[in-house]
Amino acid sequence: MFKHISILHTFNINGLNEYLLSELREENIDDIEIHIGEYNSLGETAIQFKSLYDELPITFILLTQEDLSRLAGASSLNYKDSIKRIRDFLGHQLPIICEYSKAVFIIEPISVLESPNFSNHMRAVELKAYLNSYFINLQENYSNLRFFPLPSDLLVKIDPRYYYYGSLPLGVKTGELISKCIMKIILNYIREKPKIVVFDLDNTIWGGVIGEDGIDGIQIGDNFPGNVYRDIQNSLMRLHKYGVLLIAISKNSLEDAQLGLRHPEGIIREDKLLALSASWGAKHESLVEILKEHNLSQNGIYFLDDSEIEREEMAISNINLTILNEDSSPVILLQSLLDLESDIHHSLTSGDILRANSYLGLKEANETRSKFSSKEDFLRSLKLKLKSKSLNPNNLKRAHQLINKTNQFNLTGVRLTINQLQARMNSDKFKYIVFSLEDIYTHHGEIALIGLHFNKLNIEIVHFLVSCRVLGRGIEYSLFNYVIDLIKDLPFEFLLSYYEIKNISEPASEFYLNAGMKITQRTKQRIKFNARIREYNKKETKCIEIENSQ
Amino acid sequence: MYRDRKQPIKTQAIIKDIEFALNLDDDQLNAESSSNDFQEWDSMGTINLIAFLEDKYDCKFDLLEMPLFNNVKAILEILKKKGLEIEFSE
Repeated sequence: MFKHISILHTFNINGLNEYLLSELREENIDDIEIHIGEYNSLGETAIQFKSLYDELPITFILLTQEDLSRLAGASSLNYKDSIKRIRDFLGHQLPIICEYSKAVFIIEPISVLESPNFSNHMRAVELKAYLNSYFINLQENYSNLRFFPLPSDLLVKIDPRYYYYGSLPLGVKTGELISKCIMKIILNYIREKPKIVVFDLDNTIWGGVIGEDGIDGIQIGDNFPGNVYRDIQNSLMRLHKYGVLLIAISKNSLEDAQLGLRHPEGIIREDKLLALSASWGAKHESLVEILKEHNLSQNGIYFLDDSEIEREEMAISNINLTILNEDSSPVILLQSLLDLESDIHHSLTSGDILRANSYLGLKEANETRSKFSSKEDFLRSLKLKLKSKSLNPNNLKRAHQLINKTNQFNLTGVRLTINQLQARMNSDKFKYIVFSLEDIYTHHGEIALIGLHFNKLNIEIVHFLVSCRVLGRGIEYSLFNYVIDLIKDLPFEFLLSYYEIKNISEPASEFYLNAGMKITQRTKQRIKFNARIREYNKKETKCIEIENSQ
Repeated sequence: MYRDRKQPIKTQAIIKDIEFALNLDDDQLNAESSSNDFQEWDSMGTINLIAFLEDKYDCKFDLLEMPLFNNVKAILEILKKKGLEIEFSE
């Protein structure tokens, strides 16, 4: 969550503070401080605000194109020179603002001259296109920066008279309208990032009922009403590409469900699904079974179903999930998916995308598991290969994500900001290694991280975490051996670490003991371990190859 | 809030509208009042007043007319220019 909102603006946002506080209260978001300041040439406001808070704020940047041109000294220049000037101007201050903020949200600058009164003003249109593209690309460089298009209902409110007279580009209600826009972004920001979308089939991803209408009777394709279902399937497939896992749960026979997924104009095929459940039982019971089978936790789950009864049943079940659509209309189904897409596509890492493939690979691997007589034979057949890489700017974002999202096997449980992690990356006192995993079925991406801190006499493991989706293959022991090999010839006596107690029944709780370390202290919060480096006997791990690719 | 322009509007009714838009108490304004006499009648008050009158009388004021909304007399004149039938009363 966050405690502080900082708003940097170039135009009059009269009353915004009161409107926003009232909207936050309505959503039960309390104890938030709002700091409002001018957006100026040096990012000074962001720096000044720093002394006001104990933790970084989320920052909103509100601009008009006209103010931006004026501040950059570009108002009277030709288009090419003005673009250069604006780029330099933004390039100086945005890094400062990003550094002093937990998250930065840039709302598309309001183009006063592109209001309905001046609809053909080409320079405004060109500048808008340039700035939008600039901010969209900037998201690649700053992981905490996100760009939001100006909501279309605000475009029609632009009134140059109020802008020129009172610096109120959206007229007398500028503060109120901007508050609503900010609130929508905040609600998106705090809602759980989607990991799984669970959806129905009939009248949800195709029109009609496959069991009654047959394959030729369901609607999906280029013609109405199949065209809206085609776009729903397209959206689900984009989510899949972004790393979101897809689960279909339908009250159908399995044969009918599979038949529908083979429709010649359909986009989603069965092999893209993590699971397809077709039965007449309660959907929430099917979902619980699927989550258990795939070792998935109950977070980031979204549910899409045209049936109000199914949505209500799912909502009152004990599963922690969000109902995506409030209505049965296919347009509402599509809109809710598009909202979800825009919410996640900014904050993606390549790891997210690999994660979906990884689960599908695991699904395939588990299906073949029964063919082997022992677990060791099965693991050997997978040809597991770990690749290590030192923490570097290319894997920083994924490493940060692993540190802050891994719960089940995260021995020290320490969370870091991206700046703190970056500082450790550049420090001689720390060594961070990120591990990726491959097997014969798939490339699982970066799934583990170890952080070492070099003290005067000892080395401490300050981070040791493995993504829960690859647990159960003994990877953690191979990683521990890797650490031992890495440090055995260094002039340090002890290897230290600790287990931060969250839930003693977790697979992680016994790990250090099983790996051969000794308990040195036990409190309610943590168990401390050490091992004398030169005397340590490695636990044998047969089935995993480790390749050092740094 | 649209009203029939052909029906004459009493000045007192417009003064009431101005009081309402500026969040002033009843009977604080008269035909001679100006922004200098009231703290509430600052630039934001003026903008609120303009937006309120535009909405109520279904008219649109020009940018260059906006600074003239600083006294009751000028406002009545501008509204008259916009085609409103104003019945001047004591």
